[in-house]
Amino acid sequence: MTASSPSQPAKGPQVFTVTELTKVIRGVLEVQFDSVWVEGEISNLRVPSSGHAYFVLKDEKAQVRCVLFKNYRAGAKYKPEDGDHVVLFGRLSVYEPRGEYQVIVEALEPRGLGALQKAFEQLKEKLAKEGLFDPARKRPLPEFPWKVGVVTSATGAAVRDILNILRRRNPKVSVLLHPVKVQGEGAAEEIAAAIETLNRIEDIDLLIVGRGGGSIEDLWAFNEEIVARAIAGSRLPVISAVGHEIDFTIADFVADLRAPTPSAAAELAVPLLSHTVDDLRQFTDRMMESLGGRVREYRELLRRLIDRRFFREPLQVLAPLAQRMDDLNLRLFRGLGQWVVLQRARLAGLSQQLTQASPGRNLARLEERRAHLHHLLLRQTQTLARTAKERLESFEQQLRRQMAHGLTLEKKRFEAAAKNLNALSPLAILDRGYSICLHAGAAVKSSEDVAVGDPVRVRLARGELDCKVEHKH
Amino acid sequence: MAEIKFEKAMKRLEQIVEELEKGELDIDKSLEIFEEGIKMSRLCAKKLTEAEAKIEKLTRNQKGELVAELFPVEEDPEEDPNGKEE
Repeated sequence: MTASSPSQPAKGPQVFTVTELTKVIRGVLEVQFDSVWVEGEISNLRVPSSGHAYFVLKDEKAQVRCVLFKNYRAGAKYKPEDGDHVVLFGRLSVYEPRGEYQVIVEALEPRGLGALQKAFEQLKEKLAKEGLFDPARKRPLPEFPWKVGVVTSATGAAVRDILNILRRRNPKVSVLLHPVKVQGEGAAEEIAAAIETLNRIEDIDLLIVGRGGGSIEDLWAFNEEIVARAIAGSRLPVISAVGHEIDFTIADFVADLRAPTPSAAAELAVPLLSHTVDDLRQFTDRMMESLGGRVREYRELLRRLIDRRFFREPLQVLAPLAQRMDDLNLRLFRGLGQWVVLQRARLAGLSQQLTQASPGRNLARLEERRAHLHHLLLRQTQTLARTAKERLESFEQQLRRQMAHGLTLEKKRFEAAAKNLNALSPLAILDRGYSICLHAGAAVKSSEDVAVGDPVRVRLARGELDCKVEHKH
Repeated sequence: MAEIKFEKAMKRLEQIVEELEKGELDIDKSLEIFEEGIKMSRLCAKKLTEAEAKIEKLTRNQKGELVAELFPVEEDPEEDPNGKEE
């Protein structure tokens, strides 16, 4: 103050009150700095109940107080935190009660975001144009990986999360970790080189590439073109697992599958061993059951077939055959009986003729002869009957034997034999409607054998007719 | 893994189950693929039994070559798993 107004010693120095001075300074500052951009690091951030945010913006050599009023805070996406490097826009003012100048902040954004965001968008667009994000490029993950390659930091939380979850889900799965720097200078190159190295190892089925959460700068390596190209060129399917759910990196777009977190990547990478074992057991059971069912079905079908009457009582099947044979048998005997009757009648006719034709002296001899012939005839017919009966019985026996075997061929043969036998019967022909015409005890074979007016006897299948020859042709 | 991949064997087994369940095959073919199914099932079970987990980490030896060495896993991470790395 003493040196401030040396030009007016007569009137004495101009003395401001503190309030006046402060007002003047405030006026100067507010006019001079009504809109400024300031860059620096946030510290001592506090948000009291009023909802306004107070902090100090500093760099290596200086600091300035800042206030972010509630109404400006509300709409902003970015929430500042201590240590954040920001660029803010506002105006300068003075807080009179304490004589402190401060920046009334109207907007702020994290420093560097703008540039990174731009780089991100540019690379994304470029790679998209090349088709690196094309869904058709995405390869399916192996269903049962046995060995998983992991590209991440050996010391971070991500590797522990991945290992823990892999082991929990499937303790049979092996892991080959390729430790890399996941942030800072050279991280992107290391990550890309690790992806290439693991691709040269034969027994790996799948890669997980990622890291835990962090700021956009921390995650930046995964937005680098070299990493994107390494993932795109990977022979092995790649799951990207960078940061948290909300973080999207270029690596995520190129990867075959994006996992929201490293833990999620491990979950997506391997199926639960217990499920696999259950599936296997279930498949095996179903297969057994299914084939067992088929076998049971066939067994049942076979049982039903065997159970048919034919197999249970084969002789029953031949019953109609047996009946037919009985019938033939009966007819044979009847035919034979009738033949005997016929012969007897013939004999009687001859005897009568003989009696009529012969003189009395020969009667005794003739009678003797007749008795002898009669006897012979009887014996002959008996022999014939017995032979026929024996033959028949033999047939019957044979037939029974054949029936026991249930052979259709034999059945046919029997039928043929029976038919022949039937045809042999002298009277069988009568059954078919033929008749025998007899004259003087002999069968008439020609019209020459009889004269008009001769009596003839017509032998039918059943009964006889006495007729007279009326005309001859 | 060996000749037939586990997942191929599982796929084949699944196919066989479906074919058998459709029941359109004759008994000879059924038996034939059933036998194949049993083979697949045994193969899968064998592979599951044989599979042994190894947790390895690639490191460089003195000559600078990459070699895999066993990587011990701490059971209980104490730091915040969502914390920043390195």
